[in-house]
Amino acid sequence: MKKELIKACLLGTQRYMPELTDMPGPLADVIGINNGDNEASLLTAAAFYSLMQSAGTPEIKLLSVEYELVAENLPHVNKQIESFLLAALKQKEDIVLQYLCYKMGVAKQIIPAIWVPTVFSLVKNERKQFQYLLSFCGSTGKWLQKQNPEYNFEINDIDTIEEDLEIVTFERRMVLLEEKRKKAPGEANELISRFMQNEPADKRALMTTLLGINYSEQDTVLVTSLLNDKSKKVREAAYAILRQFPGNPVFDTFMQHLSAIAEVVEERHLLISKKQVLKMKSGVKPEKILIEAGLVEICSEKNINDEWYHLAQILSFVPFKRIAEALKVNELNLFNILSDQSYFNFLAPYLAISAEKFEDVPLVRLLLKKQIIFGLIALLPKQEADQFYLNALSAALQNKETNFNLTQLLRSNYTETFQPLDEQLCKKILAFLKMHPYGISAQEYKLLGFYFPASLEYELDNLTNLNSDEYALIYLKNQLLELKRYLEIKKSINISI
Amino acid sequence: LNFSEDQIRQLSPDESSTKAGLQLATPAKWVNAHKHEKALWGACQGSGKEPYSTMIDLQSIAFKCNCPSRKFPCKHGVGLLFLSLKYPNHFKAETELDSIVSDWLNKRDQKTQTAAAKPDKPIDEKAQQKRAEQRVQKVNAGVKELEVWMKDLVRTGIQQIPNNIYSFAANIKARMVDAQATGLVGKLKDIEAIDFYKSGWEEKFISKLSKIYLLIKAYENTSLSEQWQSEIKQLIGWNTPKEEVLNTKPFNDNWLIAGIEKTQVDQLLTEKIWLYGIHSKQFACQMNFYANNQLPQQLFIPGSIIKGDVHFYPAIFPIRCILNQYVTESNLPDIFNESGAIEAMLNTQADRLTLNPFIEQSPFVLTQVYVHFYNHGFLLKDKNHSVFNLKIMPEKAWTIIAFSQGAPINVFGYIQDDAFIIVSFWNQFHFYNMLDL
Repeated sequence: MKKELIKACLLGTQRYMPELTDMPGPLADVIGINNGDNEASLLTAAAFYSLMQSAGTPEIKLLSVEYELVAENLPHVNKQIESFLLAALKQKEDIVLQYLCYKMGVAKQIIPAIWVPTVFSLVKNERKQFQYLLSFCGSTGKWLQKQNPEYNFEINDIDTIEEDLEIVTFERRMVLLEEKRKKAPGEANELISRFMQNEPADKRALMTTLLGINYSEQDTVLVTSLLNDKSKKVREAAYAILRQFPGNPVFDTFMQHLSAIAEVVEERHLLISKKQVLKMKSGVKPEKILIEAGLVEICSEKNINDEWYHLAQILSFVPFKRIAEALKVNELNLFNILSDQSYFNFLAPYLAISAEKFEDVPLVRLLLKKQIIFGLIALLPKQEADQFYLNALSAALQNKETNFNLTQLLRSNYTETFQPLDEQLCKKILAFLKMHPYGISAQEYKLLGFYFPASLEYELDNLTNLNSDEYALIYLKNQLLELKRYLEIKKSINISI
Repeated sequence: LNFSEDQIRQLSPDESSTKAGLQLATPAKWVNAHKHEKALWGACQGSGKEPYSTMIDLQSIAFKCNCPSRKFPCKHGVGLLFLSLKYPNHFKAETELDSIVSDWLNKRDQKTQTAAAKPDKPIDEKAQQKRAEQRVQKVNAGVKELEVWMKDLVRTGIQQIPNNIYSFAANIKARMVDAQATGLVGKLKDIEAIDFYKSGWEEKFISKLSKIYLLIKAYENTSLSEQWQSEIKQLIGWNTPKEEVLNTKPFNDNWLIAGIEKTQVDQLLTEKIWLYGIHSKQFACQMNFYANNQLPQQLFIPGSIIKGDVHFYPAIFPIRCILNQYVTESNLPDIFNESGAIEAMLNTQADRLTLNPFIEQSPFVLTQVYVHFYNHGFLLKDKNHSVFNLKIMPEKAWTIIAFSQGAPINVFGYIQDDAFIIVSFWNQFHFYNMLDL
């Protein structure tokens, strides 16, 4: 009957009118249907059926599987932190959330169960930007994941727990294998070989890079065997390891080619003294194995000879120390020889790659003397790095350089533990910002709030109390007030947790 | 009355007020602080020369402060409450109220009483009767037009309506506004609010349309009892004056503030305070309307108990009420431990619909139930595995599931359009109003 009523309403009574015969007769008379007015009859019958349905809803039973919730073994954050967390979640304040996560991680505390779905929604809707929050969702998060297929995120525990390599995700397995490689390389090799068998080329190449960690001669056999892999990506990853370490044909061939194209010789200088110079030989064709190992034969840049290009590539492939050994000079001498070359500007980026890749602090120092490369400063010991930053900023202030990359300097100084920046550096940063308020983005001002030393708050007050009609200074004032707000949030969180 | 931290947070108008209030909750910020069984008051040193004088009525929760803030309560009010929670010993216990506080409380009492006993104004009975007759004529004409419109709709069929959802009822709605049949306007708006992109819209449409038809037929039926005629008139759009309601016999009980709902339409905020009588098991709902950012006159904490009189609007199944003369009593006692909730709810719903087929929101307190995810939707499930449709946003449903941790919880809500809508939920430790999530 219900279907008939809906059909009649959809089509209209002028096209279709059902027989309302199964309505109990006396009741039909009372409520006035079947009186010739089709529309009235239909509406009355529909009202009657709708009420009958609402009042006579049958009891439905559902026997279902309940997922068991494992008891939480970590405490929840307190009410104050919960309120900070909620406000930041609602306003999607990434910076505050990151700081809260850091503090929660240190205190080994988790998000209250009731707010876990809010975190999940945020991660889901913001394309996993807030994924770092998932580690703080505790067992409630995992329990909800089992129930809702939409919550298909990878959750890493903040506790270090024994995990089964067989069942964890690929990313997690990589982390665990990396740890294993550092502690017991031999055991790790067995596991890497086993898991590589079932993975596609991209993932096998990533797993191959693990063999470069804590590399020793015992690994040569395994890495060399990977040179015959069917995937080019895996072969490239294996070559990248072999060309760094002596004791294998790939490394030896690279060194032979280096000796063939370059030689350090002594030349007479200023009549009586002698000077070491680099002699390059052109026309030496690299062996096939070098091309396979990643060496590009022909240089695409104008005015750069192929042998210089080969040298540059070898500088980025092989640790600087080994190149110096091959050319029979010490590192300092080699650097000085290279820096005397007209090609040095071409070689410098390759040297920077080498310094960064092999974390070669002496080379970093040498390079920084020539040129400030912020990415490299971070490799120096903290005190030394701070001095570099300070000098660079002082120079920028003195020369009134407005194109100085302050953001890069700040980012290089930020630590995962939110350590406040050096006071002297901060004073210079404020001086630079006063000169050039648009030097960093609004978002960067907020982030700086979490790294700003509280002892320098008075400096902020001085700047925010400045009276000026200049747009740039008004902008600076507003941004510094925002910075101060974040500094206050940090202080409040520190007191509360 | 002792407020818990959760309750103070619920009273706070926003997060920033809570934070500011917490910062003020240190003895150093308060020049003095006093407590009495009826009120808390104190002087808070702000940025100005003179400290701000803040007072709180503990009996019918209200705040007063001479700071310039437009928030209600202001951070000083929230701060004073947090101070009472964190540093109760900092308050000087008083046996008598300060004169300023006493004046304020007396004024509040008088205001409530005068609302009940508003002196009768001289009434021009003839003019009043004429106005009433004119209104009846207007409504009658409107109802006739509505009937014709509905019949036309059914005659030509409703299948094209999803193509015309924004305008198919615009004219008739405007006509009902002219006819002063505001109740019918609301019901037509309900039809417009149907999700026409979801399957099953036809059934909802017919159900709502046919119930309006039933209502206007009942309106035309002059043989109904006086009580029923009054009920129907209210549904069509006649209002019962507040004074008339306050003159009805009061209904006294200890009332659980079962939940608060707020809906904003244009500039008008409608607030529903749902109450549940602890002894009588009677439901009540006070509706407050605030226009243009008007500040609320009363503050209630969901999950708390108030003792007081409720005056019901005359109705076959009385729900809407006015709360009069009440004091905040205590926090939620553990009184709900029944099971088999859904079967009992269905039986009660059948009884209620038999009594009054026009009930739109039928309230229930359900104990020992679960929110259950099933087949991309959510169900309310009790310990006997009985289930009932739940109308809820997925994120909110997962929030309740996470809160429950797999254990049964208690919920307050109502059945509307054959689905249950949760207004609040709680276990032995926490009470949450859906509005706060």
